[in-house]
Amino acid sequence: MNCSQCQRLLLEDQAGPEVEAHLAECMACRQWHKMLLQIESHVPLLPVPPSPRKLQLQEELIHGPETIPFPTPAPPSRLSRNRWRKLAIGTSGLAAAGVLIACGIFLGNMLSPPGKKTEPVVKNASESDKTLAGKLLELDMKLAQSDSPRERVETLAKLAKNLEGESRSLAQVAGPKDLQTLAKLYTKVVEEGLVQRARKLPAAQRRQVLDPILGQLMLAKTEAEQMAQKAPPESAVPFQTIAAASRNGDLQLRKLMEQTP
Amino acid sequence: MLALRANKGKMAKANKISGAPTPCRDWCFILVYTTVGLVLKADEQVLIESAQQGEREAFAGLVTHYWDRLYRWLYHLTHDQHLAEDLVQESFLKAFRALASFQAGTNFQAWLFRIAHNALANQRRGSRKVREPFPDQVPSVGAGPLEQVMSREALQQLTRAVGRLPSDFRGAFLLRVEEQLSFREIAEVLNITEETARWRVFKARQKLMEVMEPFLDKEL
Repeated sequence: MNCSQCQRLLLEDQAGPEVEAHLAECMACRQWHKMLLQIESHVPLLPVPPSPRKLQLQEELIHGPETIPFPTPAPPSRLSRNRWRKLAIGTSGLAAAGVLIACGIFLGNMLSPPGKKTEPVVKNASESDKTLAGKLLELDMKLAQSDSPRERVETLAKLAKNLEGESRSLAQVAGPKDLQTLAKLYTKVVEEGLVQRARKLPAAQRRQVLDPILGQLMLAKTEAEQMAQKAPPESAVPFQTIAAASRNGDLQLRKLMEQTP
Repeated sequence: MLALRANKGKMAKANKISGAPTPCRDWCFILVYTTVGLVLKADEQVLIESAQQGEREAFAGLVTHYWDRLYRWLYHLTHDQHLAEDLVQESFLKAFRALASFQAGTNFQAWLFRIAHNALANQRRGSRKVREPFPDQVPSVGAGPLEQVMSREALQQLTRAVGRLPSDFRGAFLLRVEEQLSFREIAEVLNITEETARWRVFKARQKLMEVMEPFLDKEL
């Protein structure tokens, strides 16, 4: 394989063993590939102006008068709603379990703080000994089994806590990219999971369920800000991301509580 | 989940190719990413199902999930903040009205982006003036740790280079790189063949490499 063929395959997203072999021995192509990765990793960071109308639409949908007429509900599918839901979530859980079990051998210390021994994922280990993936699997299963909004919110809060804790544990040993991956997951869990599910909480339960979560988010924010100051410069961004997500989550949950009669 | 999986798979592949020496780490992150992705995807499916049953809050949840992504894509295609916002809103309202026809379990993201693409195509057909040419003023690149990886100049250059790609290539490229869609999904969104989707992404990358090479860090 020559350089031109190698680069073409990389541009086509068709890198295979031959491309890897070529890259291993060709510095020019490695440099070229690194540039391609630089470009692609920065595309999601290209600036765009803010879009304030998102909140407006959400407000209209949730609280506003029904200026946006809701379409006629879809006729029930062949699977009843609950069955469908359980199937969807259960399948997710099983898929995750399958992946985890199949790849259990790979679950090492990489996602645990240094010095910890790896434990097989699906094993009765104490809370502190479990890998992050193991904890996530349990939470995933718990979500699959939970029908109540309260249980889902609390489980998502635990998921967020695990991700945030793991990021701090890994601050000194993981690369910035890995930390950023965890930070993005944390943001997703808080913004797309926790805050959204919290809206489903019955008004009577909101304060009781959300109070401790607000405390958790504030603590996560403070700790992430401290980590961002202490961490090497290239690892500061993930902690800033976590701090921002915690702050936003906190604000949105507080707003939700204020709206609760 | 598709997007998450594709993203993670790609990251893992990239690390592997670049000689990152920790396959275990790759696998662990794939697992973590996949598991969280599944959790969120399951949640998204619940939101879709609930929205189809008439729950407005559930649809608001989908707006939360997809607004920024759709807006970024449309902004990059139109270079016009207000037009992009109009199109995003229009797309959500169309999706809202057509929710009953959405088949649960299929790819909601591709469905939504296709609605947006159709809205953009309609807008372009109806508008004499195509507002796409890249503006002289680009949104400012804030100072931050990002610049430790890519210089401010390089990032501005990349903003311009992406903005000057032919629109068709840009749309496909951004769906691939930002949204991590598969070529089949890109084809579905843009109503083209998978081969054409591949070609557009290929040409976009090739062009960007040509333009950006002088600005990038070549040190290994």
